[in-house]
Amino acid sequence: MAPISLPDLQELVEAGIITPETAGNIKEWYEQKKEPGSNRFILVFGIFGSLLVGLGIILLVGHNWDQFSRLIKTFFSFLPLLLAQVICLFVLFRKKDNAVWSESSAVFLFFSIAASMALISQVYHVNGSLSSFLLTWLLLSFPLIYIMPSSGVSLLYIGVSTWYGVEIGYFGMFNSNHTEMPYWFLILLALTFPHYYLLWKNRKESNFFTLHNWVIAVSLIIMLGTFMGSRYPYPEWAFVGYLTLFSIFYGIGRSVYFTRSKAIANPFLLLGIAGVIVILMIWSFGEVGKEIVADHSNKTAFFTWLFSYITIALLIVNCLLIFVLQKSKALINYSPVEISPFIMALSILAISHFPPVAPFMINGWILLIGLYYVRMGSRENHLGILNFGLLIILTLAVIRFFDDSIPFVWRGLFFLVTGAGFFIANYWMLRKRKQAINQNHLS
Amino acid sequence: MKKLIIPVFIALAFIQWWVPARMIIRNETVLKKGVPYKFLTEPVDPADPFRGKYISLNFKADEFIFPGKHEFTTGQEVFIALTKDDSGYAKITWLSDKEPASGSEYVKAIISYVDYDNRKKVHIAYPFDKYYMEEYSAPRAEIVYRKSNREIKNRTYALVKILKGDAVMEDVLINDTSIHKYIPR
Repeated sequence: MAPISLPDLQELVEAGIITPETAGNIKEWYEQKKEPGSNRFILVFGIFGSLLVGLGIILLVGHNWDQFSRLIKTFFSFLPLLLAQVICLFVLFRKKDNAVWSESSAVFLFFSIAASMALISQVYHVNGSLSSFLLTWLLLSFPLIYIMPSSGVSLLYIGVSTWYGVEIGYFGMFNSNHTEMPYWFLILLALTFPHYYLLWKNRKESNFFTLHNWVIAVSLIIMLGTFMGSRYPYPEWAFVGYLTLFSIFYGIGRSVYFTRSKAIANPFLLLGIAGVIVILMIWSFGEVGKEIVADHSNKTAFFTWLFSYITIALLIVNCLLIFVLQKSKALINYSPVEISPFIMALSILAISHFPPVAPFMINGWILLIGLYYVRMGSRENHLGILNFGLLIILTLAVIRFFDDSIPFVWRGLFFLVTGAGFFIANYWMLRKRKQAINQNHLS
Repeated sequence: MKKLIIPVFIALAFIQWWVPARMIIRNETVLKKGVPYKFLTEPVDPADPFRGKYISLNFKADEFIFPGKHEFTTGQEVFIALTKDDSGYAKITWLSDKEPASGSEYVKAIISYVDYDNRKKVHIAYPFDKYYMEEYSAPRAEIVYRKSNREIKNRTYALVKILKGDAVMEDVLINDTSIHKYIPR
C-alpha cells in the first residue's frame, strides 16, 4: 500500500473520519517505517566496498610473497584481522545503531578471517582440503551475524556454506568411489535461522529479508541433490523428492505470509512453480520414465537409502503444509500444483505394473495445471496469469509435437484446440473488460 | 544483553586469533624440533582460490605392501611409521590405524586407494603434497621439477620435518639444492 500523503490525512481529519490524534499516529508510523532511500544506498555501497576490499586482500595473499621471511608474512597475515577487529570494536562501542557501519565492518572482518587463515596455510604448505578450510572459516565467523549484527555476513555465510556443501557433496561424487553427505551444511544453515526469524518477524519489508529468501531457496535447491550420494539406485524418487521440494516452496509462496509481496520478492513462488512445471514436463515423456525406472530386481532395498527417507519426509511435510495452511486459512485456495508430487509418486508406482498409464497421468495433470491458471486468470481478471496457463499448455503441445508415439491426427487436433483456446480466452477476457468499463460508464 | 555483547565479541576475536595462531605454533614446533626426512619424488599448474599457486608433488614412498591381507578402506586415516634407507631417504616400515608408541617417528596420512587386484597393497596420500610458491615462480618451478624428475641421475625430494604425527614441508630440493635456486629470475 502506498503511504497516505499529508493532504489526504488533512482531508480525512476535516471530514471527521479520523481524529487529529490518529492522523498524527499514522504520520509517525509511516515515518518510522520508511527506510530513507539515501541511507539504503550508502548501506549497499558500504557492504560492496568491504566485500571488494576483503576479496582484494585474499587475492594479494594468493600471490604468495616469496621474498618475505616467514615472520613478516605471519605479521601480515594478522594485520587485516587486527584492523577489522578494531573497526568492529569501535562500531560496537560508538556506532552500535548505525547499520552502515556495522554491516560494512562485519563483512570486512568476515573476509579478513579467510585471508589470515589462507596466508598461514600457504606459509607452512598445509594442504588441508578446501572444504575443511571453508568449514573453519564459517565456524569462526558465524557469531558476527548476531554480535554486530549483520545481515550482509549472514547472506555471505549462507553462500559460503553452500559452496562447502557442494565441495563435499558433489565433488566427492565424481572424484572417488566414496561419497560423503554434507551433514555439517545442515548445522551451518541452522545457525542462521534465529537471524532469519528475526528478519521475518521485524523487518519483513526490508531488502535483506527478500535477499535471504532468495539465497536460502537457491541454496536448498542446490543442496538437496548432495544427499543422494553417487549411487542412489532409485533416480525416479529423486525426481519426486525435488518435485516435492518445489511444491513446498510453492505452498509457502502462496501462503498469506508472502502473497502481499511483489513477485520478485517471492522466490518461493517463482522457483516453486518453475521447478514443478520443468520436472513434470521432463516426466511427461514416456521414454524418460521407461529409461529411468529400470529393473529393480538387483538393487538394494529402497529403505536402505537415506534419500528415500528424505523424499518420504518431504512428501509428509508437503501434505502437512497443505492441511495446516488450509486449516488456518493461511493458504489462499487449493491448487493442483501442490498435489503434483502425489500424482507423480502414483504414476511411478503404476509404471512397473502398467507402463502406459504414467505418461497419460502426467500429461493430463500438466493440462489440468494449465487450465487451473487459465481459470484463475479469468476469475481475477489478470491477463498475465491467464496467458501463463496457456503457455503451460502450449509448451506441453510443442513437446508432444515431436512425440512419435502419439498418432498424427491426435496431435493435430490437440494443436488446433490449444491454438483456438489462446484466441478465445484472450478475446473473451478483453471483451469482458470492455463490458465492465461500459457498464461503469453507464452507471 | 547489551553489556554482554562487547565481552562476547572480544572472546570471539580471541578465538579468531587463536585458530591461526595455533596453526603457526604447531607448524613452527615441527619445523624446529622435528626430525628431517627426505621424500623422493616421482614424475607428475594447479591453483587454490585462497592460497594461490602451488606445485603438486608425487612421492615414491606412497604405497605399502602388507605381508598378508588387510582390512583398510579408502579414505581411512592411518599412522605411518618411517625410517631412512641406505641413501638417507624416507621409507615406510609399518602402517597402522593406531597411534604408535613414542620412540618411533610416524606421520598421519590417508589411504588414498586400496588395490583390489593386489589385496595386500594400499596407496597413501600424505598431508604434504602441495608446495605453495609465488604466483610467477610456481609454473616455472613446476617445469624445473618435471624436467629434473625425468633425469634418472637427478635426485628430487621434499624435505619434511616430522614430529609426533605432524609433518611440515620445508623445501623441495633437486640434488640437495633448493628448487628456488633453479628458477630463472
